[in-house]
Amino acid sequence: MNIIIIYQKKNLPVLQKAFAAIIKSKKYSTAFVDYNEAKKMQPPDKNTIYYLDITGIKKADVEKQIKKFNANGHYFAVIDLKNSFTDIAWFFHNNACDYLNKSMLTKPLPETRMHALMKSKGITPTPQTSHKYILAKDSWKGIIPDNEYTFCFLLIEIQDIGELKKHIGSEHLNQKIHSFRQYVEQLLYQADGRCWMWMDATGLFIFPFNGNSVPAIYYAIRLILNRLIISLEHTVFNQVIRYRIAMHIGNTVYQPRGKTGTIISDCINSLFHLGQKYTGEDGLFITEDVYSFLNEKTKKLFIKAKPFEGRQIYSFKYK
Amino acid sequence: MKIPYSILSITEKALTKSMDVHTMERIVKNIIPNYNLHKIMGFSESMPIPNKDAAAQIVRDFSESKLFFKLVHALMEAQEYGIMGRRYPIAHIHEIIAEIINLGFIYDKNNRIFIENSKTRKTPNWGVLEEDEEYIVTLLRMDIAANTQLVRKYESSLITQTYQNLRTIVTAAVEQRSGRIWNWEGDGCIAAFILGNRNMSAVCAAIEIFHELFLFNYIESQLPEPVNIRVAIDTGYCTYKHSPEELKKTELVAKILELESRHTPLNSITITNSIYASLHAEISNKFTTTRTGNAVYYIYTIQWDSP
Repeated sequence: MNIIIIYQKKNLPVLQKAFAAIIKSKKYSTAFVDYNEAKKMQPPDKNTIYYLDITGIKKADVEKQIKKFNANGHYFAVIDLKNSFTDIAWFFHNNACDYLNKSMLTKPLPETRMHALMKSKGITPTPQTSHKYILAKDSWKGIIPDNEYTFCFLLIEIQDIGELKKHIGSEHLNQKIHSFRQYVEQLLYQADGRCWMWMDATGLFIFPFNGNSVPAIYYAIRLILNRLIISLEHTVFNQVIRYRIAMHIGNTVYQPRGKTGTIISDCINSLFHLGQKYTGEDGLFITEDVYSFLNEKTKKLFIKAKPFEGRQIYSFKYK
Repeated sequence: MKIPYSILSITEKALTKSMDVHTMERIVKNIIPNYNLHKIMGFSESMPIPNKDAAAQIVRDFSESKLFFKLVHALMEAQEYGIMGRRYPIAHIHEIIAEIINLGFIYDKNNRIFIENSKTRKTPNWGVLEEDEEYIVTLLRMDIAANTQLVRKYESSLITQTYQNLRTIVTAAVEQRSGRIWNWEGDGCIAAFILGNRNMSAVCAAIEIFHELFLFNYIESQLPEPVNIRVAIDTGYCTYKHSPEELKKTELVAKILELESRHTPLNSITITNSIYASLHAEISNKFTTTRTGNAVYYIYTIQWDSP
């Protein structure tokens, strides 16, 4: 990972815009990590620059973070959207390699800035879509924790949770989500998928990528086509649910379920964005990486949708 | 099906220990109204029959007349709901049920009947429907459109393989919902549903068949053209017949054949008013109303975004 932006939740849209050109250039692998999540993470390698968003953070906490970066020998840069630190030089005296404030982020950052920065620190860029697939031998049997592999990712998120909670109460809602999750797990298991993470109403499933096709797409299509049937027959309390599915192919270090908290992955990050921020509609949305591995007949089932975070998105045509 | 002696023996004990002969007769007459225990056993009406002998006779008669499961069900009801306001704790009832489950049956709470456990075996009558008896059934009729043209146009191996795949799709959708295929001919089938919310089950099965067929046509099929189908669903009383030929002559089957052939557009599901009325609102919203003369039908078709 070349660039990790550790953001404050409310600043994410500004930062996404600011880094859009760099992400779009696809020359550097980039990830956004929530400030609170970042505390738990372990750095993936030293070929990374951390952009730390210090907006609204106490000076003592900032110093602590910077001390940690220095102790680990990691490159870091600072984002201060409120110009709350007047002594900017202090950051540079403490090994910061870049500084960004609000006025500098009104326009997308030029790719040349990152290029110069990487060059000065001797960091080798690892392109975002290098299509360097790391295929596991013999599917799941060949997957070893701590190693990096290419997976097809499927994110499924139940929508209108607030409304559902009002209708059936939180206890029944939990039971409904549980029954839905069980059904999806059983269904996707048939396509060699495993539930990797499940948080509230969102599940992330992974399928070892075989390098030439995406069989999971047909199960995703089934989930969309049969939404009403699934809601009424396979989940409790006779309430129809809506859900959105996002799919992507990318690389990540594999850790067993439950031990995924420390994983930093650009593709997981962007998949969550696609699943949660791209649209408010239900349906099936896939990235160009997935689309490119579909056969011609299956491609016809998808229509080109608006791009997102530098990637072309396709949506399934079913209403 | 022959009921093993061990079950008959426990049931006999259960009757003997749990009630007097008068109550036994009352339970039995609920199932066979003209059952006369005294006459069968050769006792005059004024003579008391020993409990044990009465129980043995009843169990024997019920096992021979294939109504044994109904007797067990009546005992379960006597324990749970009582007879004439009084509940009868039935000795050994759990043992009897456990033995029946071991035989490969499960108890369907909705319909209050023992039916065969589909994990063990699948028969068209769920192991319990009796020949010439009338039941409320929901029927699903599926027909392959333009079958003759397809058969003439393409090699028989290709057609056989295609139809076999379609058969797998239909059977899976039906049996997953405890339905049974009653009849499969070259160009279509009739499936029956009697358990649970049978109308919803039939409609969900039909929708799933439709969606699976769409994927099959689009992705797997080797035929140069898509396989098109028509599906119709109706419900009502149906006299059960073991023979598929005899089944075809029943009124409900004749009605559904007509509904499919005359009122179902290509690649659509047509349902009658009684089916429509029992559907979940979100499902019924997918159907559009159509009128033919005085009759009202509801039709479902898949919708696609245009690129």
